[in-house]
Amino acid sequence: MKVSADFSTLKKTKWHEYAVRFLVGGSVTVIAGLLAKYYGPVFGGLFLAFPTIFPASATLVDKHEREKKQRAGIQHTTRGRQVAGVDAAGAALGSLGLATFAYIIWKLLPVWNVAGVFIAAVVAWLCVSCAFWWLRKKHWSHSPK
Amino acid sequence: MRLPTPGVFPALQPQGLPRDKVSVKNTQKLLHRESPSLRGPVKDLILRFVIGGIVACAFAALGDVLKPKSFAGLFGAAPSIALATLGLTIAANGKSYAATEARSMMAGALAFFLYAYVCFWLMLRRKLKAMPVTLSALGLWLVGAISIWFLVLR
Repeated sequence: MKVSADFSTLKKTKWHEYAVRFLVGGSVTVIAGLLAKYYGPVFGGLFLAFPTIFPASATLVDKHEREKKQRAGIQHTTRGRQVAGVDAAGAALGSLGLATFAYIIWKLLPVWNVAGVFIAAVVAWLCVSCAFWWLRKKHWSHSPK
Repeated sequence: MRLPTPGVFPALQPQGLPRDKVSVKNTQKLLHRESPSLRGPVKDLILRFVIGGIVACAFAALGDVLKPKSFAGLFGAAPSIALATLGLTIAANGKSYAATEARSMMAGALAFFLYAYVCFWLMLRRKLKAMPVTLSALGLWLVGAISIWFLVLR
């Protein structure tokens, strides 16, 4: 299956939905910093992998799909939940990339320069996530596209 | 007992101050000047909030525009908080502190896998609504992450 981008979806997202994401993202970042300050980096580091984006994204996907079906005259539909479930499957694969990102930072940061480590970690996150997504599509896929 | 005269122990002498002016007031001034984390903790928190919010919005918008949804879902697990905070952490506390945080982040990422898989199962197989599932399962993430921390990292 081909990966594509549809920029018209950005217009469907309302300003308050962006505001919620901004507030959640900012708040979790502050809380992670405070926890690291008061309980040390070993405990605080856990919260660098807190699910910030996924809950809001899945909720919005569910809502938008339901609204689309209602506009088409279908009142009771499980389509939104199915698409949100597929989104969750993607997030589960992305979390393996996230663990790779953390591993690269942990191992290379003390010995490399900061910019190089960050670039390597982001590239590794993207490559591992995409590789797992491709493998799932090719070998294990049974869910709606 | 004789107290040492100023300048006898150079290792205890704060740099940038005349040797005969070592006092609590001067030491506090020096710490305030040299440590960015002491200079403005509120400023630091505001900066973290703004950067964290912007990075989360950027990854979420990327996830919105991409198709298919299973691919877009990858960006739901983007390292948004890590990218927003690790730079500031390195500047304030150094590389080894940030590397320790990253080691714990691996445990958080494994708990994220468990969390996302349970959400996937509840929404796709059990047909439950996204909002209650994703919010209530955050407790599962917390339990998973703290369990790994308690068993492996502590």
